[in-house]
Amino acid sequence: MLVISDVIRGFTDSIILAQLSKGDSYGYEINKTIQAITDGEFELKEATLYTAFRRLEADGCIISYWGNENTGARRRYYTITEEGRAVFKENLTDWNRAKEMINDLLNKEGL
Amino acid sequence: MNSKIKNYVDVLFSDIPKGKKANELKEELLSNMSERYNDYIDEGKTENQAYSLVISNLGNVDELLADVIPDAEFKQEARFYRVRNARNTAISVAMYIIGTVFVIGLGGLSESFGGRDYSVLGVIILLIFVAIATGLLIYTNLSTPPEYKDYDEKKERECRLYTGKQGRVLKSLLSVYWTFITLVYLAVSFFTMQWHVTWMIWLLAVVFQGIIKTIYEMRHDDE
Repeated sequence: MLVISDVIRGFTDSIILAQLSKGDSYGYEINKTIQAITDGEFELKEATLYTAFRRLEADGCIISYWGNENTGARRRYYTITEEGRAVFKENLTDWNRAKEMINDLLNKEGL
Repeated sequence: MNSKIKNYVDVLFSDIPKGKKANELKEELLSNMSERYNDYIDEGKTENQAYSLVISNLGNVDELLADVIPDAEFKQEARFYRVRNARNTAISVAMYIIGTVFVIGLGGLSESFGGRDYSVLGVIILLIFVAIATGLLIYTNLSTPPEYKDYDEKKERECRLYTGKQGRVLKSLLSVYWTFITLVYLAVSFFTMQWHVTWMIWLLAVVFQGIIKTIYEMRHDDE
């Protein structure tokens, strides 16, 4: 049986890069956006999200900086680097190809 | 900020040695969890509901926490910088003091030998020593990467050092040392009657105390 959330989880890094390519953001905001886009059907566990942030930062795809909020705790914002954009573009192309291939493999009648 | 969430995060991090990475992760988790909590409250959930939803949304943090624990390599490098910095500081302080000894010593020499005035030479030597020592201190400070400065394993270790069995040994060692220095100071002073110079023994004693402590800490580092 195919568990949709497991399939999506394999794309955590690409999903985060996709959100950051629209502009700088922080952990909770990214999760809120993901929830909104999927109509509340999917949300990343925070541990998964932060692990991905660390991984992407170590790979040089994103950079973090601290915001200066006047009230409450400081937020840690992330911004995408040129390298991150390149990785995202590549992932997007790969995904589109894979999507078509899987679609063909599952739907098309054999020759 | 909800104190229950803060407590929960504090407990999560209670076994993690404090370091820059750990502190940053803690602050990041706390600010995002608080915001989520506030949103749940705004949606009309009770405090308990909001709290349990926030905690369940966190997921498994083991991997995340393992990532911010200072690893063996980091600890070793931190130790290298600590020992190097302690050594360089001790050398610099010693040079400042030895430079001063030259000024006073050569000044005294001029008095006793009448003829030539060596005090200018003493000042020149002092200035050279000061320049080298200051340069060494600045270099030491600038060449230490900031993440090693923040890492406070030293604090943990010092606590152990001064409270455990080793701490008692060091304490008694130092009290014997200071009694000894006092005796030496009085003996040398009464013997030579050069009270205006012998006070330098105290400065030298402080430097030696630093060296003793450093050697002692280095020897007990691996235990």
